[in-house]
Formats: sequence, structure tokens, C-alpha cells
Amino acid sequence: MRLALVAVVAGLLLSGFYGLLRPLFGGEAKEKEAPPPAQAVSGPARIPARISPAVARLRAANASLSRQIKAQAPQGEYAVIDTAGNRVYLRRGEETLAEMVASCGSGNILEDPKTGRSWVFDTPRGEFRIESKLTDPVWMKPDWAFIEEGEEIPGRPGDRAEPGMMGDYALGIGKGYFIHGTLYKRMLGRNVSHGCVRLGDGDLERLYNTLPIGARVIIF
Amino acid sequence: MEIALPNGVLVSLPMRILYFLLLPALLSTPALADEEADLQADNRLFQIELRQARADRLYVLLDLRERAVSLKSSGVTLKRMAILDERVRGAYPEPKLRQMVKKKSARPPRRQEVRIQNGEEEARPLRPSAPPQEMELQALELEQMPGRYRLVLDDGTLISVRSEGPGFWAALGRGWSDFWGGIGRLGRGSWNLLTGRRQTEVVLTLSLQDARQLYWSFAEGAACLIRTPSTQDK
Repeated sequence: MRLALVAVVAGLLLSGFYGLLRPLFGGEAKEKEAPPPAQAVSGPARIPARISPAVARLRAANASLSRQIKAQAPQGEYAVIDTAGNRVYLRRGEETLAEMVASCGSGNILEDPKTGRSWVFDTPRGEFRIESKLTDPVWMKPDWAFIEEGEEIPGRPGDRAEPGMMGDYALGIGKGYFIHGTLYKRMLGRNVSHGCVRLGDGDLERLYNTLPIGARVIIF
Repeated sequence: MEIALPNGVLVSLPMRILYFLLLPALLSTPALADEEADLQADNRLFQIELRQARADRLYVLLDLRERAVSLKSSGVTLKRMAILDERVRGAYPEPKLRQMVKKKSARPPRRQEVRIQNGEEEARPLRPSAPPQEMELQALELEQMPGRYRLVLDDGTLISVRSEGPGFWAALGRGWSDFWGGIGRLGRGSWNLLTGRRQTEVVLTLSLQDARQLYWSFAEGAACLIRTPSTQDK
């Protein structure tokens, strides 16, 4: 009788612990292991024999999609601008070639008391391309610069010209925004510009020499 | 029927059988992942991400599986922020494209108006060589961004962001905010119950710097992709 009881208890124990012991016996536990992150899949991976066809198809499809997403990345060198950290990163693929201290938009608002026109001095965010490359650029002061200083807006374009304010180079990214130099080098690393991206002389020269017309500029 | 233990105590057989039946449940094995379901969710998310990457637009990937928030554009990760803690209240969000429509914060940053100089007076030029602290800086900067806020997505999903700030006052602020947050949740929960609405809230804890960065960079109207935890972790 006692022997029968021991046998029943042992049987229950074994069946109860089947879930725990299953991997030791090479059961289906391997098939249900958590998958590796889909991003880590590269190329047609070797598929173990026990993987179901549906899982195998999904793995291959995800690996393909992941490659397609990565293929959208800019070709060659490009710039990434962090407006919060006031940094410009010169990158190629996933590699960062250089980190540069910059000054981005102050985020302030200017309102013209006479006309009611207003400006927000933000650096625009999104994807841009280098549209123009200038050497010894001359700043043509826009209306807001005169209003900010409490001056009359001149009628003649020549009265707007201020050489030497933008450094040795300027790279236009469209809509009137430039990556350029600055006289206020001690303010690099702070948000003080009117929307353009200011850089130190050495960094500006490197960016000018590296990025061709058409190169991507991603600002966040 | 009873059996005797070595110390002489009598235990009934049904009780012993019950004990051994329940023992495996007490020593429960971890849940196993449904790989196919995870891969299908990833597949839908990859397809959405590919469309975003082709559109050359900034988007945010909230990866609850890898515990990271990534700012991305053209498939490139611009900034990756570690999630220190995460919780999901309500149903897990389906893999679909969402847009962030509103930021809510008790102390939203305020833009300053530029003080117009009097052109007739002697101009007060800022000395280019002056150190930053000597110069009167009027700007909206990262430090002014809140560390606790809520992002509302277009399908009603809420992303509550908290941050780990150092010091006593930060801890006190967290307690205060948790208290009112709890009351708010109770109110929302009651309202949802009455109206039959289902709402998901993802609660994220980031470092203070990362929380501010996310507030700064995640613009209203930008796309948000949410990758849910593995079925094993749900």
C-alpha cells in the first residue's frame, strides 16, 4: 500500500515538473524561446529545423524590412543638428566623424509694434539639403534685425549689407536659413541665434569642405 | 485515508495529493513568448516605419521591448534615450501609426518677447568676447523644458513622462505629482467606465535630461510608433 502511494506521488511530481524538465529532454521549449530583436537579424539567417514556416517567413520578411529602412539613410557624409544640445554632428552612415559646438535659435518672439508683424526665432526642424555654399558671405540684414535694434528699415538694399558677420563660409539649407560663422564665439553652445546655425571657424571650414551641394542636413 | 509522516503526524491522502498538484503551480515557470505574434507585430511596425523613413520626416520610436525612446529620421537614429522604468495601464497599444497632438505640462516653457532697443539711444553692443554669464541671455533653452508631462496621441493614447531628478525637493515634487496624478487617473478611469471608452496610458521614467530632450524634440504633429513588450513580458 505504502509502495503504491509513493509511486502515485512520484508520478504526480514528475508530471508536475514536466514543464520545468522539458528543456532538458529537448522538448518544444527551444521552439518557443524569445526571438532575438528583429533589428539584429541580418541577411538570411540559418533557420533551425524546428522553426515553423510562418515564423521563418516572418523572420525573413522583418530582416528585409529592416534592411530597407536602413537603406533610407543618407549616402555619404551628412550633418545632424541637435538644436537642444547646440551640437552639429558630421556623420557618415552610423559613424560620427565630428561633433561640433554650435548656437541654434533662441526661440524668442519679436513683434513689430508698428506693423504687427511677428517672428519666432526657432531653428527649423526636419530634413534639409545643402542648397548653396558661399565664401566670404555678406549678411543682408533682414527687416527683423532693424526692428530689433529700433532702427528704420532702409529702402536701399545696399544699406542692409554687413560684411564679416557670418564668418568665412555659409552653407544655405533653404528658406533663408544658413549654417555660418559668428563673432560671438563665447556664446557657442547656447541658444542665441535668430534661427541660423552658428559654428566656430575651424568646424565651419571642415563642414564646408566635407559637405557637397545636395548633402542632407537633419535637424531635430 | 491517512498516512503517517516520520514524526508521527497524520496527513490525509487527498491533502497530500492536492499539495503535490499545487506545487508545480507555486514553482511556476516563466511565460513563454509567442514568437509568431511578436514577429507579426514587428512586421506591421517595420512597414509603418519604412513609410515614415521614406517620407523624410522626424518620428519617434517608443520601444517598450528594448526600453528605449529613439528620435529617428530616414531610418537613422538621431538620439536614443534609455527608459529607466515603464508601465502600461490599459490595453497594450496596437502597432499602428499615431501622431502626437498635444503636450500637457503643469509648467510649460514660455517664449520670451524680444525687447526692442531704442535706436536713438547709444547702442548697447554685446561684447563678442564677453563670457556667457556676463551677457544678458534671453532664450528658450533645454533647462526650461519640463521633466514631467503628458503627450496625447491622436487615438487617445497617453504617454506620461516622468523623470528621475536628484534631491529632496525633486522627490517631494514627484510625490505631490503622483498624488494628483492618481486623482486624475481615478477621474479619467471613472469617466471612461461611464462612457465605455478604453484608454491606454504608457508611463515612462527617463533621466531628467532625456525627458527634457524628448519634450523639446517631439513636435506636435510628429509621428509616434510604439513597439510593445514581447508577449513573454506582457
